[in-house]
Amino acid sequence: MAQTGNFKSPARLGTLGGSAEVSSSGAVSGGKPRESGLKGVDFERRSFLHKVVGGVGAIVAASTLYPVVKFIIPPVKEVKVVNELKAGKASEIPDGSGKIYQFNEDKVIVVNKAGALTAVSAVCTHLGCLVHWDNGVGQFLCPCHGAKYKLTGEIISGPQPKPLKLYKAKIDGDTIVITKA
Amino acid sequence: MAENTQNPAAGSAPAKPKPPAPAAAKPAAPAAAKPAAPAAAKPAAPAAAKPAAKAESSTSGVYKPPVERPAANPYKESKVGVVGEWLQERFYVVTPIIDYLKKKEVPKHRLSFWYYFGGLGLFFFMIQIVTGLLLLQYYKPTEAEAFASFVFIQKTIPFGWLIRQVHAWSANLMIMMLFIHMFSTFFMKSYRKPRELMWVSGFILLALSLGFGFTGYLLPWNELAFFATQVGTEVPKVAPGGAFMVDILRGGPEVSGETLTRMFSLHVVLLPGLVLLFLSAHLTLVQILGTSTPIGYKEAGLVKGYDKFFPTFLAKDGIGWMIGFALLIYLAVMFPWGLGAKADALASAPNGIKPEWYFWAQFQLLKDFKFEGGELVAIILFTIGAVAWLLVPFFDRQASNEKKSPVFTIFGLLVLAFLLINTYRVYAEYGW
Repeated sequence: MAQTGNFKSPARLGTLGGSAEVSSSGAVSGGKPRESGLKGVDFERRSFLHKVVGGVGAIVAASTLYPVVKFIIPPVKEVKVVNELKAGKASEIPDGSGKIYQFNEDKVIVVNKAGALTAVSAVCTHLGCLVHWDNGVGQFLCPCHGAKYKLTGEIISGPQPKPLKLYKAKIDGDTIVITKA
Repeated sequence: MAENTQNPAAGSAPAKPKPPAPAAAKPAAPAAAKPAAPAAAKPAAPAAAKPAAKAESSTSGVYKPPVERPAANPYKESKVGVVGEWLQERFYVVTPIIDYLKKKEVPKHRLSFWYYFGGLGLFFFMIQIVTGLLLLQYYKPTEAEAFASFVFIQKTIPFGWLIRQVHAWSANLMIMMLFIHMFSTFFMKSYRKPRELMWVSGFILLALSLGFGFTGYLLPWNELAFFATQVGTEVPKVAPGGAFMVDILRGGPEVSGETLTRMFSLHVVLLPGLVLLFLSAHLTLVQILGTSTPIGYKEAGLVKGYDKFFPTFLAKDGIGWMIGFALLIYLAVMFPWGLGAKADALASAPNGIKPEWYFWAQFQLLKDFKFEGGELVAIILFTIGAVAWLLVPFFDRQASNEKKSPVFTIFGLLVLAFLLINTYRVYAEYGW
């Protein structure tokens, strides 16, 4: 264990290449003799002071650290939860393709198959990449690890644990409106 | 087998350590000799085993001359903790350096109060690093977002206002401490031999810190920042090659988003790198060369004693830091800096525009030299003054010989008076 208090330091080597008195040329050793160690120190008062100073120091450190920690934690962006969202124009999604919109906390992909709109969550349930609609094979594909989903969001194959959440999408006039299922 | 042996004449027969005399002394009793020999051989065997083995190896192996090697770890017996022991086993070469450093002492005399200001400058610089890093988590250094992120930090992020105020105030306190440190070391002639390079590195550090202040000032991208930078970067144009320099600094002919990017890169990357380099050099020199005592104090018996640097003086330094910290928080909370209005390149410069206080002396000089070509004269004078100030340790022969040098004290007083008077004149005319 590390010793505290009185201890004999290891035999000091001569200092590197000479004495330590390089502070001024022609120096004269002056002043009082060096303090003679720890004689005459009241150890009880000393340890009490240690505790007091340590305690005050801990309080100062904690009260300094608290604002820093609060500062670093990023503020939560309030997302207003809506039941339906006017996502965009119907012309934005040509036949056989899909487009992704932000809906509340989720990202929803709206697919146009011969005029009929289907909306599912675009976030692959495996590790969060966004899927795309492959009209050739008629599947949602996730490029990250090969997950495949049906148009209805059900799992075909791949490492994902859950299907894609279903939403509802309809055309109102020429606007696409997304609602919860 | 027998090559390179210390005893080349010996055959392959092992030399018997005990002379065969006692065995030979009983030649008539071979029976007696037999048990005697084995009996003699037995106690002799263990004793003989070693020297026999030695003799054996010396006759049948490679000869290794005896070599004196120093102990592998000369500090094996010293008492340190578990970690200390682990380090010592591997890095014992460094132990003498650490022992030397442990010897550092700080003299106590009536002027040793001034010894705290260098450390206080360091303390406020460390605060700048921490608060700067924190602000960097949210600040966006583009013309479009700088002011918005600046406001966002102070209005939305918890304690963002506090971090910003501390950063702004600590910058000022740091520069104030550095000026006090510079002048106190000047008047105590601490720059004399052997500490000339401490003065040089210190002066470079002061220049870099003023650079920090100047580059950081633009980052809020409010009106104050914009125009202060515009005025400040206008000045070097009169010097030869100045227009080119200003172009590089501003990222173009005007202060713009390009200027913001360049100032940001200086403030966050280049200047911190340079300061850390020179600061390491400066602090290493302080540890190696120790603290200087004013000329003649030791001889006159004015030194009341010595504090060990580790841990005593550091602890006293810590008290100074706590007081400085309290002052900083008080200023940050009670005298907050405003948000200002977003910078507009097409707005007229506001009335009473002036740089930050540590540039006021130069500002006033430039205003005084209103005559034709006055700006260039002012710049030249300032440059010559700075170079002369930098080279003082090499000119002050008296001090290097441990003699009082009143000429340089007067020079220092004149410089200090010039700075104080001109700074005050700006205050008198403009207020804060």
